[in-house]
Amino acid sequence: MRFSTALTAALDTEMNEHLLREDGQEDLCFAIWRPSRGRERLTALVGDVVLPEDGERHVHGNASFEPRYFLRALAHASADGAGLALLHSHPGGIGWQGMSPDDINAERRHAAQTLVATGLPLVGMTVAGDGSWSSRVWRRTEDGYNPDGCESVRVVGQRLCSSYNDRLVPAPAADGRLVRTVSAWGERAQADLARLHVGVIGAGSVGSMVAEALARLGIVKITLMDHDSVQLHNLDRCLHATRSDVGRAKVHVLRHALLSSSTAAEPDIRASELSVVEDEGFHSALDCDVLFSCVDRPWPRAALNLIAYAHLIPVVDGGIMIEAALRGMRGAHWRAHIAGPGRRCLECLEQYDPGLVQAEREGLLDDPEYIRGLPEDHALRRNENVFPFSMNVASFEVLQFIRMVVAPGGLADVGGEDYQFALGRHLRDYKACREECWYATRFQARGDQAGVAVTGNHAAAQAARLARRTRTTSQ
Amino acid sequence: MGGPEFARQLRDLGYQVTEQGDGNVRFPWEIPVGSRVGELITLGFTVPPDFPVTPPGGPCVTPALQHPHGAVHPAPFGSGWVYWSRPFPGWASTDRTVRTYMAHVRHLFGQI
Repeated sequence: MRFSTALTAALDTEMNEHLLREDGQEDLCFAIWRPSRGRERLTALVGDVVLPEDGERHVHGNASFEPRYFLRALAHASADGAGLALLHSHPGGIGWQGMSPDDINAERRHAAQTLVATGLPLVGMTVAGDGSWSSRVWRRTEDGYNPDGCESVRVVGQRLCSSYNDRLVPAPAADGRLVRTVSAWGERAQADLARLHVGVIGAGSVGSMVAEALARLGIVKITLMDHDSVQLHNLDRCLHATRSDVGRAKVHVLRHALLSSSTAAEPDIRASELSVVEDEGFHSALDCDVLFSCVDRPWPRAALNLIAYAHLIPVVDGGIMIEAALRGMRGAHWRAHIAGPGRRCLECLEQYDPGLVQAEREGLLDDPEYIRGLPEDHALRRNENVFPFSMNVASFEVLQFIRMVVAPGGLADVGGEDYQFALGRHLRDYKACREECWYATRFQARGDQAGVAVTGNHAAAQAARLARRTRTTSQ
Repeated sequence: MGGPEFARQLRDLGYQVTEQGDGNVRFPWEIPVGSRVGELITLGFTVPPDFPVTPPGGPCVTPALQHPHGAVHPAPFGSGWVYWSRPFPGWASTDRTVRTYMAHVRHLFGQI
Protein backbone atom coordinates (compact mmCIF):
# COMPACT_ATOMS: atom_id res chain seq x y z
CA MET A 1 0.00 0.00 0.00
CA ARG A 2 1.25 3.48 -0.89
CA PHE A 3 0.43 6.60 1.12
CA SER A 4 -0.38 10.23 0.48
CA THR A 5 -1.97 13.12 2.32
CA ALA A 6 -4.40 15.80 1.20
CA LEU A 7 -5.98 18.89 2.71
CA THR A 8 -8.00 21.85 1.52
CA ALA A 9 -6.41 25.19 0.76
CA ALA A 10 -8.57 26.77 3.46
CA LEU A 11 -7.18 24.38 6.09
CA ASP A 12 -3.65 24.90 4.76
CA THR A 13 -4.04 28.64 5.32
CA GLU A 14 -5.47 28.15 8.82
CA MET A 15 -2.66 25.83 9.87
CA ASN A 16 0.09 27.95 8.34
CA GLU A 17 -1.13 30.98 10.27
CA HIS A 18 -0.39 29.01 13.43
CA LEU A 19 2.67 26.99 12.40
CA LEU A 20 4.70 29.53 10.38
CA ARG A 21 5.25 32.09 13.13
CA GLU A 22 6.34 35.67 12.58
CA ASP A 23 9.18 35.19 15.08
CA GLY A 24 10.58 32.34 12.96
CA GLN A 25 10.38 29.69 15.70
CA GLU A 26 8.97 26.20 15.20
CA ASP A 27 5.44 25.49 16.35
CA LEU A 28 3.12 22.50 16.44
CA CYS A 29 -0.50 21.45 16.56
CA PHE A 30 -2.73 18.40 16.15
CA ALA A 31 -5.37 17.75 13.52
CA ILE A 32 -7.76 14.95 12.70
CA TRP A 33 -7.72 12.96 9.47
CA ARG A 34 -10.03 10.57 7.65
CA PRO A 35 -9.03 7.76 5.30
CA SER A 36 -9.57 7.65 1.55
CA ARG A 37 -8.70 4.11 0.45
CA GLY A 38 -7.98 3.49 -3.21
CA ARG A 39 -6.94 0.17 -4.69
CA GLU A 40 -3.25 0.89 -4.18
CA ARG A 41 -3.05 4.07 -2.13
CA LEU A 42 -4.29 5.23 1.26
CA THR A 43 -4.71 8.98 1.49
CA ALA A 44 -5.00 10.75 4.83
CA LEU A 45 -7.53 13.56 4.35
CA VAL A 46 -6.67 16.12 6.99
CA GLY A 47 -9.78 17.74 8.46
CA ASP A 48 -10.27 19.84 11.56
CA VAL A 49 -7.25 21.35 13.29
CA VAL A 50 -7.06 21.08 17.09
CA LEU A 51 -5.14 24.18 18.16
CA PRO A 52 -3.39 24.26 21.52
CA GLU A 53 -4.98 26.01 24.48
CA ASP A 54 -2.95 28.09 26.92
CA GLY A 55 -0.12 26.13 28.49
CA GLU A 56 -0.62 23.06 26.31
CA ARG A 57 2.43 23.66 24.13
CA HIS A 58 5.74 25.44 24.62
CA VAL A 59 7.78 27.32 22.04
CA HIS A 60 11.49 27.57 22.70
CA GLY A 61 13.14 27.67 19.29
CA ASN A 62 11.73 24.19 18.87
CA ALA A 63 8.28 23.27 20.19
CA SER A 64 6.97 20.70 22.68
CA PHE A 65 3.57 19.84 24.13
CA GLU A 66 1.95 18.70 27.34
CA PRO A 67 0.41 15.21 27.57
CA ARG A 68 -3.01 16.77 28.19
CA TYR A 69 -2.92 18.43 24.74
CA PHE A 70 -2.25 15.08 23.06
CA LEU A 71 -5.01 13.40 25.10
CA ARG A 72 -7.52 16.15 24.30
CA ALA A 73 -6.75 15.93 20.58
CA LEU A 74 -6.85 12.13 20.74
CA ALA A 75 -10.27 12.19 22.41
CA HIS A 76 -11.51 14.54 19.70
CA ALA A 77 -10.27 12.23 16.93
CA SER A 78 -11.62 9.11 18.62
CA ALA A 79 -15.06 10.68 19.21
CA ASP A 80 -15.22 11.60 15.52
CA GLY A 81 -14.15 8.12 14.39
CA ALA A 82 -11.13 9.78 12.79
CA GLY A 83 -7.35 9.52 12.99
CA LEU A 84 -4.88 11.88 14.60
CA ALA A 85 -2.13 13.90 12.91
CA LEU A 86 0.75 15.69 14.62
CA LEU A 87 2.01 18.68 12.68
CA HIS A 88 5.02 20.90 13.19
CA SER A 89 6.99 23.47 11.24
CA HIS A 90 10.53 23.87 9.94
CA PRO A 91 10.46 27.62 9.25
CA GLY A 92 13.90 27.66 7.67
CA GLY A 93 13.21 24.68 5.45
CA ILE A 94 12.46 24.47 1.75
CA GLY A 95 10.65 21.59 0.04
CA TRP A 96 10.05 18.09 1.40
CA GLN A 97 11.48 17.86 4.94
CA GLY A 98 13.34 15.09 6.68
CA MET A 99 12.98 14.41 10.39
CA SER A 100 15.40 15.22 13.20
CA PRO A 101 15.91 12.67 16.04
CA ASP A 102 13.64 14.87 18.22
CA ASP A 103 10.94 14.85 15.52
CA ILE A 104 11.15 11.07 15.28
CA ASN A 105 10.99 10.56 19.03
CA ALA A 106 8.04 12.92 19.46
CA GLU A 107 5.97 11.12 16.85
CA ARG A 108 7.09 7.58 17.71
CA ARG A 109 6.23 8.06 21.41
CA HIS A 110 2.58 8.71 20.53
CA ALA A 111 2.11 6.25 17.67
CA ALA A 112 0.99 3.25 19.75
CA GLN A 113 -1.58 5.09 21.85
CA THR A 114 -2.97 6.78 18.76
CA LEU A 115 -3.46 3.45 16.97
CA VAL A 116 -5.12 1.87 20.00
CA ALA A 117 -7.48 4.79 20.61
CA THR A 118 -8.49 5.52 17.02
CA GLY A 119 -7.77 2.32 15.08
CA LEU A 120 -5.88 4.48 12.60
CA PRO A 121 -2.12 5.16 12.44
CA LEU A 122 -0.62 8.44 13.60
CA VAL A 123 0.17 10.74 10.66
CA GLY A 124 3.11 13.09 11.08
CA MET A 125 3.32 16.24 8.97
CA THR A 126 5.89 19.01 8.59
CA VAL A 127 5.45 22.34 6.87
CA ALA A 128 8.54 24.08 5.54
CA GLY A 129 9.06 27.82 5.39
CA ASP A 130 8.09 27.90 1.70
CA GLY A 131 4.74 26.23 2.48
CA SER A 132 5.75 22.77 1.24
CA TRP A 133 4.34 19.89 3.25
CA SER A 134 5.84 16.50 3.96
CA SER A 135 4.13 13.61 5.69
CA ARG A 136 4.50 10.05 6.91
CA VAL A 137 2.29 7.33 8.35
CA TRP A 138 3.43 5.56 11.53
CA ARG A 139 2.76 1.87 11.12
CA ARG A 140 3.34 -0.96 13.51
CA THR A 141 6.01 -3.34 12.26
CA GLU A 142 7.90 -6.29 13.72
CA ASP A 143 10.41 -3.99 15.39
CA GLY A 144 7.98 -1.39 16.71
CA TYR A 145 6.52 1.73 15.14
CA ASN A 146 8.23 3.12 12.07
CA PRO A 147 7.35 5.85 9.58
CA ASP A 148 6.24 5.04 6.04
CA GLY A 149 6.90 8.11 3.93
CA CYS A 150 3.96 9.49 1.99
CA GLU A 151 4.52 9.98 -1.73
CA SER A 152 2.97 13.43 -1.81
CA VAL A 153 0.86 15.98 -0.01
CA ARG A 154 -1.70 17.81 -2.14
CA VAL A 155 -3.35 21.06 -1.12
CA VAL A 156 -6.65 21.37 -2.97
CA GLY A 157 -8.41 24.65 -3.58
CA GLN A 158 -8.64 27.00 -6.49
CA ARG A 159 -5.03 25.98 -7.05
CA LEU A 160 -3.69 22.43 -6.78
CA CYS A 161 -0.32 22.54 -5.01
CA SER A 162 1.49 19.27 -4.51
CA SER A 163 4.64 18.58 -2.51
CA TYR A 164 6.48 15.44 -3.56
CA ASN A 165 8.69 13.03 -1.69
CA ASP A 166 11.58 13.03 -4.17
CA ARG A 167 12.89 9.80 -2.72
CA LEU A 168 9.68 7.93 -3.57
CA VAL A 169 8.49 10.01 -6.55
CA PRO A 170 11.55 11.60 -8.15
CA ALA A 171 11.05 14.37 -10.69
CA PRO A 172 10.95 12.68 -14.12
CA ALA A 173 13.65 13.77 -16.51
CA ALA A 174 12.33 15.77 -19.45
CA ASP A 175 14.19 14.86 -22.63
CA GLY A 176 14.47 16.73 -25.91
CA ARG A 177 10.86 16.00 -26.80
CA LEU A 178 9.66 18.33 -24.04
CA VAL A 179 12.02 21.26 -24.63
CA ARG A 180 9.31 23.57 -25.95
CA THR A 181 6.83 22.54 -23.24
CA VAL A 182 9.31 23.06 -20.40
CA SER A 183 10.33 26.44 -21.79
CA ALA A 184 6.70 27.59 -21.38
CA TRP A 185 6.57 27.19 -17.62
CA GLY A 186 9.91 25.95 -16.33
CA GLU A 187 11.33 22.70 -15.01
CA ARG A 188 9.74 22.98 -11.55
CA ALA A 189 6.20 23.34 -12.93
CA GLN A 190 6.85 20.55 -15.44
CA ALA A 191 8.08 18.24 -12.67
CA ASP A 192 4.96 18.99 -10.59
CA LEU A 193 2.66 18.39 -13.56
CA ALA A 194 4.38 15.23 -14.72
CA ARG A 195 4.23 13.54 -11.32
CA LEU A 196 0.46 13.87 -10.93
CA HIS A 197 -1.45 10.62 -11.38
CA VAL A 198 -4.26 11.66 -13.73
CA GLY A 199 -7.37 9.58 -14.37
CA VAL A 200 -9.44 9.99 -17.55
CA ILE A 201 -12.93 8.66 -16.92
CA GLY A 202 -14.47 8.03 -20.32
CA ALA A 203 -12.41 7.21 -23.40
CA GLY A 204 -14.77 8.60 -26.02
CA SER A 205 -14.40 11.68 -28.17
CA VAL A 206 -13.42 14.15 -25.43
CA GLY A 207 -11.61 11.60 -23.26
CA SER A 208 -9.39 10.33 -26.06
CA MET A 209 -8.24 13.86 -26.89
CA VAL A 210 -7.72 14.78 -23.24
CA ALA A 211 -5.61 11.66 -22.77
CA GLU A 212 -3.56 12.45 -25.89
CA ALA A 213 -2.82 15.94 -24.54
CA LEU A 214 -1.82 14.55 -21.14
CA ALA A 215 0.52 12.01 -22.73
CA ARG A 216 2.21 14.65 -24.85
CA LEU A 217 2.51 16.93 -21.82
CA GLY A 218 4.72 14.26 -20.26
CA ILE A 219 2.32 13.12 -17.54
CA VAL A 220 3.88 9.82 -16.45
CA LYS A 221 0.96 8.01 -14.83
CA ILE A 222 -2.40 8.05 -16.64
CA THR A 223 -5.34 5.77 -15.84
CA LEU A 224 -7.93 5.34 -18.60
CA MET A 225 -11.34 4.05 -17.52
CA ASP A 226 -14.24 3.10 -19.79
CA HIS A 227 -16.36 -0.07 -19.98
CA ASP A 228 -17.45 0.50 -23.56
CA SER A 229 -16.37 -0.88 -26.93
CA VAL A 230 -15.52 1.07 -30.06
CA GLN A 231 -18.62 1.26 -32.29
CA LEU A 232 -18.91 2.30 -35.92
CA HIS A 233 -20.60 5.58 -34.97
CA ASN A 234 -17.60 6.50 -32.74
CA LEU A 235 -15.16 6.60 -35.65
CA ASP A 236 -15.88 10.21 -36.62
CA ARG A 237 -14.73 11.43 -33.18
CA CYS A 238 -12.68 8.95 -31.17
CA LEU A 239 -9.01 9.71 -31.63
CA HIS A 240 -6.92 6.72 -32.78
CA ALA A 241 -9.95 4.41 -33.25
CA THR A 242 -10.31 2.99 -36.76
CA ARG A 243 -12.63 0.56 -38.52
CA SER A 244 -10.48 -2.39 -37.51
CA ASP A 245 -10.99 -1.47 -33.80
CA VAL A 246 -14.78 -1.84 -33.85
CA GLY A 247 -15.73 -4.21 -31.04
CA ARG A 248 -12.51 -3.67 -29.08
CA ALA A 249 -12.41 -2.00 -25.66
CA LYS A 250 -11.93 1.76 -26.10
CA VAL A 251 -9.37 1.93 -23.31
CA HIS A 252 -7.06 -0.63 -24.92
CA VAL A 253 -7.19 1.09 -28.30
CA LEU A 254 -6.35 4.38 -26.64
CA ARG A 255 -3.66 3.00 -24.36
CA HIS A 256 -1.85 1.40 -27.28
CA ALA A 257 -1.75 4.75 -29.09
CA LEU A 258 -0.72 6.77 -26.03
CA LEU A 259 2.30 4.57 -25.44
CA SER A 260 3.60 5.97 -28.75
CA SER A 261 2.41 9.54 -28.17
CA SER A 262 3.77 9.85 -24.63
CA THR A 263 6.79 12.05 -24.09
CA ALA A 264 7.43 10.58 -20.62
CA ALA A 265 10.65 8.60 -20.37
CA GLU A 266 8.82 5.68 -18.74
CA PRO A 267 5.07 6.15 -19.22
CA ASP A 268 2.76 4.21 -16.89
CA ILE A 269 -0.55 4.15 -18.78
CA ARG A 270 -3.23 1.87 -17.36
CA ALA A 271 -6.41 0.74 -19.04
CA SER A 272 -9.44 -0.19 -16.94
CA GLU A 273 -12.56 -1.70 -18.53
CA LEU A 274 -14.57 -0.78 -15.46
CA SER A 275 -17.03 1.98 -14.82
CA VAL A 276 -16.30 4.51 -12.07
CA VAL A 277 -19.66 3.54 -10.52
CA GLU A 278 -18.48 -0.04 -10.04
CA ASP A 279 -16.78 -0.55 -6.69
CA GLU A 280 -13.39 -1.54 -8.11
CA GLY A 281 -13.47 1.31 -10.64
CA PHE A 282 -14.40 3.81 -7.95
CA HIS A 283 -11.46 2.74 -5.81
CA SER A 284 -9.09 2.87 -8.81
CA ALA A 285 -10.17 6.48 -9.30
CA LEU A 286 -9.22 7.20 -5.67
CA ASP A 287 -5.59 6.35 -6.54
CA CYS A 288 -5.51 9.44 -8.78
CA ASP A 289 -4.60 13.04 -7.90
CA VAL A 290 -6.80 14.61 -10.59
CA LEU A 291 -9.69 13.15 -12.60
CA PHE A 292 -11.11 14.15 -15.96
CA SER A 293 -14.85 13.50 -16.21
CA CYS A 294 -15.36 12.67 -19.89
CA VAL A 295 -18.74 11.02 -19.36
CA ASP A 296 -22.21 12.27 -20.16
CA ARG A 297 -24.35 10.25 -17.78
CA PRO A 298 -25.75 11.30 -14.37
CA TRP A 299 -24.61 8.31 -12.28
CA PRO A 300 -20.86 8.55 -13.00
CA ARG A 301 -21.02 12.33 -12.69
CA ALA A 302 -22.64 11.97 -9.26
CA ALA A 303 -19.86 9.56 -8.24
CA LEU A 304 -17.17 11.94 -9.52
CA ASN A 305 -18.80 14.86 -7.73
CA LEU A 306 -18.55 12.95 -4.47
CA ILE A 307 -14.90 12.10 -5.16
CA ALA A 308 -14.08 15.77 -5.81
CA TYR A 309 -15.29 16.93 -2.40
CA ALA A 310 -15.22 13.91 -0.10
CA HIS A 311 -11.85 12.63 -1.32
CA LEU A 312 -10.24 15.96 -2.31
CA ILE A 313 -9.49 14.89 -5.89
CA PRO A 314 -10.30 17.75 -8.30
CA VAL A 315 -12.53 16.71 -11.21
CA VAL A 316 -12.19 18.45 -14.56
CA ASP A 317 -15.52 18.23 -16.39
CA GLY A 318 -17.20 19.62 -19.45
CA GLY A 319 -19.96 19.01 -21.95
CA ILE A 320 -21.36 19.84 -25.37
CA MET A 321 -24.91 20.82 -26.33
CA ILE A 322 -25.77 21.03 -30.03
CA GLU A 323 -29.01 22.69 -31.09
CA ALA A 324 -29.80 20.84 -34.27
CA ALA A 325 -32.70 22.07 -36.40
CA LEU A 326 -34.68 20.55 -39.23
CA ARG A 327 -32.66 22.65 -41.66
CA GLY A 328 -29.08 23.03 -40.56
CA MET A 329 -27.80 23.79 -37.08
CA ARG A 330 -29.12 26.55 -34.82
CA GLY A 331 -26.09 26.63 -32.62
CA ALA A 332 -23.97 24.81 -30.09
CA HIS A 333 -22.21 25.56 -26.86
CA TRP A 334 -19.76 23.75 -24.71
CA ARG A 335 -18.41 24.12 -21.22
CA ALA A 336 -15.37 23.26 -19.14
CA HIS A 337 -14.90 23.68 -15.39
CA ILE A 338 -13.34 22.03 -12.37
CA ALA A 339 -15.22 20.68 -9.36
CA GLY A 340 -13.45 20.63 -6.01
CA PRO A 341 -13.06 22.58 -2.78
CA GLY A 342 -13.29 26.29 -3.46
CA ARG A 343 -15.13 25.71 -6.74
CA ARG A 344 -18.70 25.03 -7.82
CA CYS A 345 -19.75 21.39 -7.78
CA LEU A 346 -21.16 19.46 -10.71
CA GLU A 347 -24.62 19.28 -9.13
CA CYS A 348 -24.80 23.06 -8.59
CA LEU A 349 -23.44 23.53 -12.13
CA GLU A 350 -26.42 21.36 -13.25
CA GLN A 351 -24.05 19.08 -15.12
CA TYR A 352 -26.26 16.20 -14.01
CA ASP A 353 -29.74 15.75 -12.59
CA PRO A 354 -29.68 13.73 -9.33
CA GLY A 355 -33.27 12.76 -10.10
CA LEU A 356 -32.00 10.68 -13.05
CA VAL A 357 -29.28 8.77 -11.19
CA GLN A 358 -31.67 6.05 -10.00
CA ALA A 359 -33.10 5.68 -13.52
CA GLU A 360 -29.57 4.99 -14.76
CA ARG A 361 -28.93 2.52 -11.91
CA GLU A 362 -32.08 0.68 -13.03
CA GLY A 363 -30.77 0.47 -16.60
CA LEU A 364 -33.49 2.67 -18.02
CA LEU A 365 -31.06 5.10 -19.67
CA ASP A 366 -29.79 2.19 -21.79
CA ASP A 367 -33.37 1.22 -22.76
CA PRO A 368 -34.17 2.73 -26.20
CA GLU A 369 -37.89 2.60 -25.44
CA TYR A 370 -37.44 4.60 -22.26
CA ILE A 371 -35.30 7.17 -24.07
CA ARG A 372 -37.90 7.49 -26.83
CA GLY A 373 -40.52 8.24 -24.20
CA LEU A 374 -38.60 11.29 -22.93
CA PRO A 375 -39.46 14.78 -24.25
CA GLU A 376 -37.83 15.52 -27.61
CA ASP A 377 -35.66 18.27 -26.19
CA HIS A 378 -34.48 16.17 -23.22
CA ALA A 379 -30.68 16.16 -22.89
CA LEU A 380 -30.60 12.36 -22.94
CA ARG A 381 -32.19 12.29 -26.40
CA ARG A 382 -29.49 14.56 -27.80
CA ASN A 383 -26.57 12.57 -29.12
CA GLU A 384 -25.23 14.89 -31.79
CA ASN A 385 -21.52 15.54 -31.67
CA VAL A 386 -18.76 16.70 -33.99
CA PHE A 387 -14.99 16.05 -33.81
CA PRO A 388 -13.91 19.73 -33.78
CA PHE A 389 -16.40 20.47 -30.99
CA SER A 390 -15.00 17.62 -28.88
CA MET A 391 -11.50 18.85 -29.71
CA ASN A 392 -12.34 22.30 -28.38
CA VAL A 393 -13.97 20.97 -25.20
CA ALA A 394 -10.97 18.71 -24.59
CA SER A 395 -8.59 21.63 -25.01
CA PHE A 396 -10.64 23.81 -22.62
CA GLU A 397 -10.60 21.02 -20.06
CA VAL A 398 -6.84 20.46 -20.36
CA LEU A 399 -6.25 24.21 -20.12
CA GLN A 400 -8.39 24.36 -16.96
CA PHE A 401 -6.19 21.57 -15.55
CA ILE A 402 -2.92 23.28 -16.50
CA ARG A 403 -4.11 26.59 -15.07
CA MET A 404 -5.06 24.91 -11.77
CA VAL A 405 -1.54 23.45 -11.42
CA VAL A 406 0.74 26.01 -13.08
CA ALA A 407 -1.25 29.14 -12.16
CA PRO A 408 0.11 31.43 -14.91
CA GLY A 409 0.55 34.95 -13.59
CA GLY A 410 -0.65 33.65 -10.23
CA LEU A 411 -4.13 32.89 -11.60
CA ALA A 412 -5.28 29.33 -10.93
CA ASP A 413 -9.02 29.78 -11.40
CA VAL A 414 -10.87 31.89 -13.95
CA GLY A 415 -14.19 30.17 -13.28
CA GLY A 416 -16.08 27.84 -15.55
CA GLU A 417 -15.89 28.49 -19.29
CA ASP A 418 -18.83 28.43 -21.69
CA TYR A 419 -18.23 28.89 -25.42
CA GLN A 420 -21.15 29.76 -27.68
CA PHE A 421 -20.21 28.50 -31.11
CA ALA A 422 -22.68 30.39 -33.32
CA LEU A 423 -21.82 33.77 -31.76
CA GLY A 424 -18.14 33.05 -31.14
CA ARG A 425 -18.67 34.23 -27.57
CA HIS A 426 -16.71 33.01 -24.56
CA LEU A 427 -18.46 33.39 -21.21
CA ARG A 428 -17.27 32.83 -17.66
CA ASP A 429 -19.10 31.38 -14.66
CA TYR A 430 -17.82 32.56 -11.28
CA LYS A 431 -20.74 31.44 -9.14
CA ALA A 432 -20.21 29.37 -6.00
CA CYS A 433 -22.20 26.38 -4.87
CA ARG A 434 -25.71 26.92 -3.49
CA GLU A 435 -25.71 27.71 0.21
CA GLU A 436 -27.47 24.40 0.93
CA CYS A 437 -25.03 22.36 -1.21
CA TRP A 438 -24.17 19.14 0.58
CA TYR A 439 -20.98 18.49 -1.38
CA ALA A 440 -19.23 21.70 -0.38
CA THR A 441 -20.25 21.35 3.27
CA ARG A 442 -21.13 18.02 4.88
CA PHE A 443 -19.13 15.76 2.51
CA GLN A 444 -15.92 17.75 2.22
CA ALA A 445 -12.77 15.79 3.27
CA ARG A 446 -14.92 13.00 4.79
CA GLY A 447 -13.36 10.37 2.51
CA ASP A 448 -14.53 6.83 3.20
CA GLN A 449 -16.62 8.24 6.07
CA ALA A 450 -18.79 10.40 3.82
CA GLY A 451 -21.46 7.74 4.30
CA VAL A 452 -22.65 7.89 0.69
CA ALA A 453 -22.92 4.65 -1.29
CA VAL A 454 -22.56 5.68 -4.94
CA THR A 455 -21.41 2.40 -6.46
CA GLY A 456 -23.42 -0.62 -7.56
CA ASN A 457 -23.94 -3.19 -10.28
CA HIS A 458 -23.65 -1.65 -13.74
CA ALA A 459 -25.51 -3.97 -16.07
CA ALA A 460 -24.41 -2.22 -19.28
CA ALA A 461 -20.74 -2.36 -18.25
CA GLN A 462 -21.00 -6.06 -17.40
CA ALA A 463 -22.75 -6.76 -20.71
CA ALA A 464 -20.12 -4.86 -22.69
CA ARG A 465 -17.25 -6.78 -21.11
CA LEU A 466 -19.05 -10.10 -21.62
CA ALA A 467 -19.71 -9.28 -25.28
CA ARG A 468 -16.02 -8.58 -25.84
CA ARG A 469 -14.99 -11.80 -24.11
CA THR A 470 -17.50 -13.76 -26.16
CA ARG A 471 -16.29 -12.07 -29.35
CA THR A 472 -12.68 -12.90 -28.49
CA THR A 473 -13.50 -16.53 -27.70
CA SER A 474 -15.42 -17.06 -30.91
CA GLN A 475 -12.68 -15.56 -33.14
CA MET B 1 -28.78 6.73 4.26
CA GLY B 2 -30.68 4.63 1.77
CA GLY B 3 -33.71 2.49 2.50
CA PRO B 4 -33.52 2.62 6.32
CA GLU B 5 -33.41 6.42 6.31
CA PHE B 6 -36.32 6.62 3.84
CA ALA B 7 -38.33 4.22 6.04
CA ARG B 8 -37.51 6.19 9.18
CA GLN B 9 -38.74 9.43 7.68
CA LEU B 10 -41.89 7.73 6.40
CA ARG B 11 -42.61 6.44 9.91
CA ASP B 12 -42.05 9.94 11.30
CA LEU B 13 -44.78 11.05 8.88
CA GLY B 14 -47.10 8.42 10.30
CA TYR B 15 -46.94 5.71 7.64
CA GLN B 16 -46.93 1.98 8.46
CA VAL B 17 -43.78 0.93 6.62
CA THR B 18 -42.52 -2.52 5.68
CA GLU B 19 -38.84 -2.74 4.77
CA GLN B 20 -38.17 -5.60 2.37
CA GLY B 21 -34.39 -5.30 2.21
CA ASP B 22 -32.33 -4.24 -0.82
CA GLY B 23 -33.67 -0.74 -0.30
CA ASN B 24 -37.28 -1.73 -1.07
CA VAL B 25 -39.94 -0.25 1.20
CA ARG B 26 -43.75 -0.31 0.95
CA PHE B 27 -46.70 1.06 2.86
CA PRO B 28 -50.46 1.46 2.54
CA TRP B 29 -51.55 4.85 1.21
CA GLU B 30 -54.85 6.60 0.61
CA ILE B 31 -54.81 8.55 -2.66
CA PRO B 32 -55.38 12.19 -1.61
CA VAL B 33 -55.92 13.81 -5.04
CA GLY B 34 -57.07 13.22 -8.59
CA SER B 35 -59.74 10.98 -10.10
CA ARG B 36 -59.02 8.15 -7.66
CA VAL B 37 -59.11 10.22 -4.48
CA GLY B 38 -59.90 8.18 -1.40
CA GLU B 39 -58.81 4.78 -2.85
CA LEU B 40 -56.51 2.71 -0.64
CA ILE B 41 -53.48 1.37 -2.48
CA THR B 42 -49.98 0.24 -1.57
CA LEU B 43 -46.97 2.32 -2.58
CA GLY B 44 -43.49 0.85 -2.90
CA PHE B 45 -40.11 2.43 -3.52
CA THR B 46 -36.72 1.09 -4.48
CA VAL B 47 -34.68 3.54 -2.46
CA PRO B 48 -31.21 4.31 -3.81
CA PRO B 49 -28.37 3.44 -1.41
CA ASP B 50 -27.28 7.08 -1.32
CA PHE B 51 -30.71 8.53 -0.47
CA PRO B 52 -31.24 11.39 0.27
CA VAL B 53 -28.40 12.51 -2.01
CA THR B 54 -30.39 10.99 -4.91
CA PRO B 55 -34.14 10.22 -4.79
CA PRO B 56 -36.05 7.13 -5.89
CA GLY B 57 -36.84 6.93 -9.59
CA GLY B 58 -40.57 6.92 -8.98
CA PRO B 59 -43.35 5.05 -7.12
CA CYS B 60 -44.30 1.40 -7.50
CA VAL B 61 -48.03 0.92 -7.24
CA THR B 62 -50.45 -1.91 -6.51
CA PRO B 63 -53.12 -2.35 -7.82
CA ALA B 64 -51.34 -1.83 -11.15
CA LEU B 65 -52.67 1.61 -12.01
CA GLN B 66 -51.50 3.09 -15.30
CA HIS B 67 -50.27 6.67 -15.58
CA PRO B 68 -51.53 8.73 -18.54
CA HIS B 69 -48.01 9.96 -19.38
CA GLY B 70 -46.63 6.45 -19.87
CA ALA B 71 -43.19 5.25 -18.71
CA VAL B 72 -44.85 2.45 -16.72
CA HIS B 73 -42.65 -0.62 -16.21
CA PRO B 74 -42.64 -3.94 -14.36
CA ALA B 75 -41.90 -3.40 -10.66
CA PRO B 76 -39.49 -5.33 -8.41
CA PHE B 77 -42.29 -6.02 -5.89
CA GLY B 78 -43.85 -8.89 -7.83
CA SER B 79 -46.97 -9.46 -9.89
CA GLY B 80 -49.80 -6.98 -9.50
CA TRP B 81 -47.36 -4.08 -9.21
CA VAL B 82 -46.21 -1.50 -11.74
CA TYR B 83 -43.38 1.05 -11.56
CA TRP B 84 -43.96 4.64 -12.65
CA SER B 85 -40.57 5.97 -13.72
CA ARG B 86 -40.91 9.65 -12.80
CA PRO B 87 -37.59 11.32 -11.93
CA PHE B 88 -37.97 14.17 -9.43
CA PRO B 89 -36.97 17.41 -11.19
CA GLY B 90 -34.80 19.83 -9.22
CA TRP B 91 -34.11 17.49 -6.29
CA ALA B 92 -30.81 19.24 -5.52
CA SER B 93 -32.56 22.51 -4.70
CA THR B 94 -34.98 20.92 -2.22
CA ASP B 95 -34.46 19.91 1.42
CA ARG B 96 -34.08 16.30 0.18
CA THR B 97 -36.62 14.88 2.63
CA VAL B 98 -39.25 12.18 2.24
CA ARG B 99 -41.92 14.81 2.99
CA THR B 100 -40.79 16.71 -0.11
CA TYR B 101 -40.59 13.51 -2.14
CA MET B 102 -44.16 12.56 -1.18
CA ALA B 103 -45.34 15.95 -2.45
CA HIS B 104 -43.94 14.86 -5.84
CA VAL B 105 -45.84 11.55 -5.53
CA ARG B 106 -49.07 13.40 -4.74
CA HIS B 107 -48.52 15.56 -7.82
CA LEU B 108 -48.20 12.40 -9.97
CA PHE B 109 -51.48 11.02 -8.66
CA GLY B 110 -53.11 14.35 -9.30
CA GLN B 111 -52.43 13.71 -12.99
CA ILE B 112 -54.51 10.51 -13.18
